[in-house]
Amino acid sequence: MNAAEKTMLASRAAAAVAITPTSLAKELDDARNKITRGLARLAELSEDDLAIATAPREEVWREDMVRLYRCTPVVDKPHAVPVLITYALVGRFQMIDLEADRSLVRKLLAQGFDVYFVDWGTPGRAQRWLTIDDYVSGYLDRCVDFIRARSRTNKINMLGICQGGVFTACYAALFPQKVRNLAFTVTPIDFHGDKRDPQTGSGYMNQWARALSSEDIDALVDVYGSAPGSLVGFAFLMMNPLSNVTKYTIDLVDVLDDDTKLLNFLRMERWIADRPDHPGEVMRQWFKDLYQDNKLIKDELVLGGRKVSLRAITMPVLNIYATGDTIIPVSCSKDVQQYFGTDDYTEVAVPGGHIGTFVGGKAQKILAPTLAEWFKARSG
Amino acid sequence: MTTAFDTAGAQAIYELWVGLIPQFFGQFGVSLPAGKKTSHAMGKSAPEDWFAQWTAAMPSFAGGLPKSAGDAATQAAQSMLGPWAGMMSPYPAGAVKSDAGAAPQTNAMGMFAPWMAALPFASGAQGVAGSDAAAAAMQPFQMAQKSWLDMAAQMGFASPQNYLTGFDRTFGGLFDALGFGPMRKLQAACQELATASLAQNQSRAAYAMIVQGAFTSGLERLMMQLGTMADAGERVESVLTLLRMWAVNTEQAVHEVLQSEQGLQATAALTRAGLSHRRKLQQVAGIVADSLDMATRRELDDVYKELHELKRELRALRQPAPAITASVDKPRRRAAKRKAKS
Repeated sequence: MNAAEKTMLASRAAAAVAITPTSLAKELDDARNKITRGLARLAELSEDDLAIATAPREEVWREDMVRLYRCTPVVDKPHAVPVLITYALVGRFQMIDLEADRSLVRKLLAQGFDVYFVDWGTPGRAQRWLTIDDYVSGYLDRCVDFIRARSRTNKINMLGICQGGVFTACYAALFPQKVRNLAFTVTPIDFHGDKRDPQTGSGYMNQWARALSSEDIDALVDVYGSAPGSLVGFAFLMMNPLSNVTKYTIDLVDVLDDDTKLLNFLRMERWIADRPDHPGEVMRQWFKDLYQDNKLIKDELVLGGRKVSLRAITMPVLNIYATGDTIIPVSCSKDVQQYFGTDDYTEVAVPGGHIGTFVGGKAQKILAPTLAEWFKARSG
Repeated sequence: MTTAFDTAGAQAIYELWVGLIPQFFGQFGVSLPAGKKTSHAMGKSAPEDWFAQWTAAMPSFAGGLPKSAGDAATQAAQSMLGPWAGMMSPYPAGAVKSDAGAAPQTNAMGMFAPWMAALPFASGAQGVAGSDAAAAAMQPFQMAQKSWLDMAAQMGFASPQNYLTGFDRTFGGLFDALGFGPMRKLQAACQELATASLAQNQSRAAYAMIVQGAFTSGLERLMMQLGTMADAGERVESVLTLLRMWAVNTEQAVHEVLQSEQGLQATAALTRAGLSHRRKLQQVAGIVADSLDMATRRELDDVYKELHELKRELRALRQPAPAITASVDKPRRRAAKRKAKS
């Protein structure tokens, strides 16, 4: 575009801007009023107001920094086959029970399920050597064994979320005799799926990882040990830098005088801020074997000396993906049936983004009911 | 509980040193009685002999000793200083031993003569500056000056790092011997850190240029959107709306740029430079920690690694969990049946 064209474009654009001194003054006055009311409200809020993951639960098992919780059932006789929810390492489990009215856990409890979930805790420097196998064949397997023993059942239902979905899929492939039904949500299976269907603003992590060499990943792990939670958080922020600028400025001012929206915002921020460090060896394998080499769908991923073959997953599989997910591109989660050994495979799309799947209004109406119905139908 | 002290080793060392003293002073022409070379028990006689040898060598101590010892010391000192005095004779100060008063002056003038001849203002050439004699006298200086300049020109082709390396090769061992080893390592690590820091700033600048391009593109997109709105008769009446429109358009441009090959390469370069810088920083911290006898990150990591390997081995030794239904439910059912029958 040359200078003359730019001048012409500017004059055309200026014709669309009808901001007057009066309208500007009114806007500024509105913003001032909202900020004043919002600050007063912020000062009134207590810790209880901002509490997240409040569904009653009991710690039933622990090892190192890992905890297994059982949510208190809300029915006298819960379903015989318990559900174990496994979240990712990059965030905390509270996302599944963020607020009372936006809680996957509470919805499953209300449907009569016996719900357990793993809290991976906050790995410290000593945990930098933990591998995916330590999580899958170690902590997760011992959680499953505990639940099996406690509920006196050979097989349990498993639900994995995002990275936790990959862990759960690996677990089901390595220990199929212990898994009755396998469900996962917003989970990458084909890590190169975004190559087939590239979308602007989506799958940046996939592309970034592939732009690095294997040696770069080694250097990343060697230099950082464990990836600091703040660094992981920053990487997520940078996926949408401008949206995050407006989110903490003009969008925030907009919700300051709306109590419900303000609390939603603050509780979400509480969850976002609580980002644990990511163990280095898991990160090395995650980036090299999965993001770079896409070994999961090739049956080439090796955990603890054993090959992970998705073909070994012969139990029913439910795959739920989010249509607006930019962190895990839809093409990495969708249409992956051919990699599994099961004949009972279901794929469900929910509206919203990666986290919106669990807290978005529309997604909430689909996610929990779909899971409940699917598990019930296969747990008789 | 006490342990008997074995003096044989200490005695042998002592005798070795005592035996070396005459050899040491002998090279200066000093004659001392030889140290005892025969082995004997550590007793009073040994320090006395040792002291006598030293006092014989030190004229200042001779006053308190028998005459024979004093004479021997004086003679020893004279013979030791003799070569030095001879060497210093051309200089006035070196004339302390000369008998004739004029001789030192002659010697001194003889020493300065070549210099005086070379300098036109100080020699017979004085007053005829510009003459052939003066030019000839200056020639050695000019040649010397040229050779120094040549050397300086040659040095210009080498990098400062070459000189640092050369300096390190020459004096590094000496510095280490004097206990400056950690400082040298730290200096080298700091130099590497500075280089890495520079590289990081360069990659940041390259990345910033790309992002800046995206922001420019975003603004153009906003203008186009506004132009389209104007053509359709639509208006933007809110600053906040305008800001949101700018953010959406710019974010789209940022995504496109950063997901392009150029953007991905710039991001990868930024990552590499950041990692390199951090690694160098860790090296500096490691050297400091090491020199203060504190555990370094590497050492702690090694310990953690071993712990995890041991845990894995322990886990592998555990028995696999039995089938729950078979082991728990069946016995219970059998027990219930037996109870019902009885």
